[in-house]
Amino acid sequence: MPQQSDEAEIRAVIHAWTQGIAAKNTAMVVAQLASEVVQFDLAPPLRVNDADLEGLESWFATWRDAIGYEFSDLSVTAGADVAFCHGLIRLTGGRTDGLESDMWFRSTLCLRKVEGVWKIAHLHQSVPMYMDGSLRAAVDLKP
Amino acid sequence: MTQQSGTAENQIRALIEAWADAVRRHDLPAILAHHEHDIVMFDVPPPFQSCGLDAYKKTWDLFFQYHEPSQAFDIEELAITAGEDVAFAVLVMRCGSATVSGPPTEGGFPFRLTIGLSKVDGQWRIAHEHHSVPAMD
Repeated sequence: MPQQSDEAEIRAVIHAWTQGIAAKNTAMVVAQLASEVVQFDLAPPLRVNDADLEGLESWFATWRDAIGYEFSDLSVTAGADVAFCHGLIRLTGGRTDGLESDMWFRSTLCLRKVEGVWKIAHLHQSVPMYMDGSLRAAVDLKP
Repeated sequence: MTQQSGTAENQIRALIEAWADAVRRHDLPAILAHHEHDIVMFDVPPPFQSCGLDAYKKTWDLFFQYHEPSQAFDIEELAITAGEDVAFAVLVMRCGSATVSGPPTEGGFPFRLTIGLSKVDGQWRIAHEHHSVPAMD
């Protein structure tokens, strides 16, 4: 059976991950990931089979200052050593191209307990796709 | 479907394969057979999220407008991580329909799927599905 503290530990890992992104701190983000992490990210490609540090750092470089990156309604379902979580993330901040970002997306995080420590083993982030033939990503939807 | 025998991974694999087969046949009761009443679905088309079994069911009513039973809804890759009573599955699938881009495309399009499961009264149940394609713009 899961310990009462497992959910708290998982929330702390996810908090550290979002704080790492907000602060553009690559080491802090990567410290929360399992070595074999599989990522389904907002943008192509379909799948990335590692932490993709290069991709993360080049994305960080598109933001002028700190990144607004906050979970709303994070649901955690935890067993003794496997867990899945889902919620909605609001992404805000100023881009280096002068634009201001303010968008919501869906996030699913799956974790495994590795040597007593919860790590993010799978990430899935997305926005819906409009079905009107335009191939447009629905970046303007709000929960 | 009984889940009496086999490892957790085999039970979950059989459940997901039966679910995908039910989608291909447009068999709504079979699609819904192993889902929790409070499932949260993040689907490819809007809405942003569908909470609860009734809302989940509506996502398939929409899907059936674009997909014909002869078309693909195929599992290309499936990786299952199972604990004693919580599990997740990570899939790459292919949907042979006119969905997403309008006109039918030869061979369909690939999409990602993450499934979260819990064991309830000895049976694995789906509590979360996240279907998506990468944003192209």
